[in-house]
Amino acid sequence: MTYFTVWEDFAKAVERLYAENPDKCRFVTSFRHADKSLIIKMTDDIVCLQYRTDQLQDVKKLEKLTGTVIKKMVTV
Amino acid sequence: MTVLDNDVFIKELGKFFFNSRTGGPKNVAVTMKRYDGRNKPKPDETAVVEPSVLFRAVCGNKKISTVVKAKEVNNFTIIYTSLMKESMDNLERRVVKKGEEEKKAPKKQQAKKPPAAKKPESAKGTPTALKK
Repeated sequence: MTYFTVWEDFAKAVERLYAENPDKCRFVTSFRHADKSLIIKMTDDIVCLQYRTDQLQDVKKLEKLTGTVIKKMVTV
Repeated sequence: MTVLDNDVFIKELGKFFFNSRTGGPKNVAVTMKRYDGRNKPKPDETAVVEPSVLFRAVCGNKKISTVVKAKEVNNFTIIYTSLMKESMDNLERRVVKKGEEEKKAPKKQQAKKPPAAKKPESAKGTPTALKK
């Protein structure tokens, strides 16, 4: 699966995918300090959404998205 | 995989990030997943479980995990995101393009001008009022 290039598209797709299949979705953030790369992934084992970045500004956006995803996971 | 308390998990995750930048395994992966307490395929359906979030983190061959309950989610989110901010500080800063700089500059000037413009008016106004 290819990487998303626009954060807004990625964030929307993540929320949509989670709404479809909340029990199977997992949200992975993997960070490599040495390579300056941050990869964010959301998958339900059928569809896989990924976003890769090396920009500091995306960390802020990630925080926001993390918050919304966690909240969704807690509310049934 | 060890299931840890939330505080311990954050501490260990901090160590993961630290180790990864000081010559340990390079990749740190954190997974979030919804978790309702089931760990068997056919659960007891009558059991009512509190919705929570399962966190797993992997760094090299070390694996840790924690379960964050709904009540503790807000607190945990704040701590977790601040840890992310601290750890991911080496990424590229945004390069401000020349066009954006020019756009921003006049805005600042405009913001400063109005109060500066008002002062002379009031300064002019008071002496004339005094004269009259």
